[in-house]
Amino acid sequence: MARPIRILLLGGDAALWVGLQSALGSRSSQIVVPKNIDIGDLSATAKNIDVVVVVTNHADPDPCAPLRLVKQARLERRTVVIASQADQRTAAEALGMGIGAYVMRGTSADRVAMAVAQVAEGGAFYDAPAASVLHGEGDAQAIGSMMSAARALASALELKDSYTGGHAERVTHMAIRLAHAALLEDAMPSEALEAGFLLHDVGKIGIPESILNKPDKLTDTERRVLNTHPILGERIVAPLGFPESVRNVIRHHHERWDGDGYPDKLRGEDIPGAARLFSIADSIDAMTSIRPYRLPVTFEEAIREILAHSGTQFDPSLAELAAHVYLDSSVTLPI
Amino acid sequence: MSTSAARVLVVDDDPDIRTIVGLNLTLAGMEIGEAANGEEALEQVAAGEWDAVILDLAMPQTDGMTALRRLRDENRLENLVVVVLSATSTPARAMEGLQIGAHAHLTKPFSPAAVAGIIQELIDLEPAAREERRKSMLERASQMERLGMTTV
Repeated sequence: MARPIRILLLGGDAALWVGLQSALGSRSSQIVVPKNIDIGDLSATAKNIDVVVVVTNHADPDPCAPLRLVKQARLERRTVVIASQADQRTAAEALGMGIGAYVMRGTSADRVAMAVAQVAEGGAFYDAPAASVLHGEGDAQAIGSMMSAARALASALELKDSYTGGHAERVTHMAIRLAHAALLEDAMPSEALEAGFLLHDVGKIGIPESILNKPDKLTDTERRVLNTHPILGERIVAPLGFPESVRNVIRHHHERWDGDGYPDKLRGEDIPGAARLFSIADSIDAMTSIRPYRLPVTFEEAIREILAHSGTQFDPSLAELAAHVYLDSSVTLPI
Repeated sequence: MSTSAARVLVVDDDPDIRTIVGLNLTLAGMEIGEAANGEEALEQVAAGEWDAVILDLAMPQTDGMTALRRLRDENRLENLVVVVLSATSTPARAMEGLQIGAHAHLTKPFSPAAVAGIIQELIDLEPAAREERRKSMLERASQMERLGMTTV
């Protein structure tokens, strides 16, 4: 007989507990239902539980608050979120945090039990509608093929642009970390957003190699041709049906906070959030990577440079956040 | 064949396309004008000296096909090189433009960097050779049409 699953239940009502208990049968020997739990309790309990079940209520002013507690206690992979279908923000935030499973409210207790069992064994479980909430459209299979298309396009570019080896992968990793910390409404971490990061420079496929790989300074016209790559990129991905967040990163990753960027000279918060946070990660990687014409700077110097251009080139609040995310973290820096 | 910079009018209702094509032609040393629809294009052609026109087919107001027909019928500009841009790649669509006097049919998406080469090559041809080329392109498109191919 399988080992009992120890479950911590946050939120929800008596009907759910009973339903869950009966669906799991003998596998749920312990269900703990704490009241007013805080982060200390949760961390202390963490080692004694297998799965956290969080029932969010979209009528709450901050339905994601319990999720952040779970994340702080590093229990997100072992968490099952039950959220109402209408609550798209919770869905996006939950999956963005790396929550183990997501099911819709009103789902049968059997299905919730299935998700619990799956997560207890280290797996993941997403209701199909949650995936579509997160990614804007399509089912899990469509998302998979979208990511494959994104990787194929990104590697096509790597073949052409000899300066950028590994840049797309590095910067995607960095930008996703910033997206996790920022949780901007139009830049929720997701695979789609990751595709956008990976493909930010895909328009360079349409730029002559004589410009891309020119060792000398570009002429004014060459510079302007190079600067059409965000427009070309958006057109290249247009037939692939990527969600708006992806297209936004590609078209707007060279806009500047002060409106002096390109191609559309957007200013401040008119620049989509995904593009604002991406441009910070992009600049850091450009500074810290090896280029033929100069030596790389250290990560700390790159962050200082970002802060020095906060409010002109970069969104000031995201620049500050980037300094925390990339420097205060004990996690190895992605360089 | 002229030795001075080629003068090319880029006609498209999409400003992105005008920017991208225009810049790539500038990079190749050409002089550029822009028009956002067929009517503007006809005005500009009448007002200036152009070696070539890049003409989008799908435009509001006067579309590219109408503008092309009027360029050939009314303005009698036989020596003007015309390259049409279209989102449609069927032989029938290509034939339509070639029949009324386009020299090349480019299907979107196209390589913006290659456009300058195509234009320059056409400008450099003697008018008779250019006409020969247009006819053979037309013949090729109609063969493809007969073979049931869907893309030129």
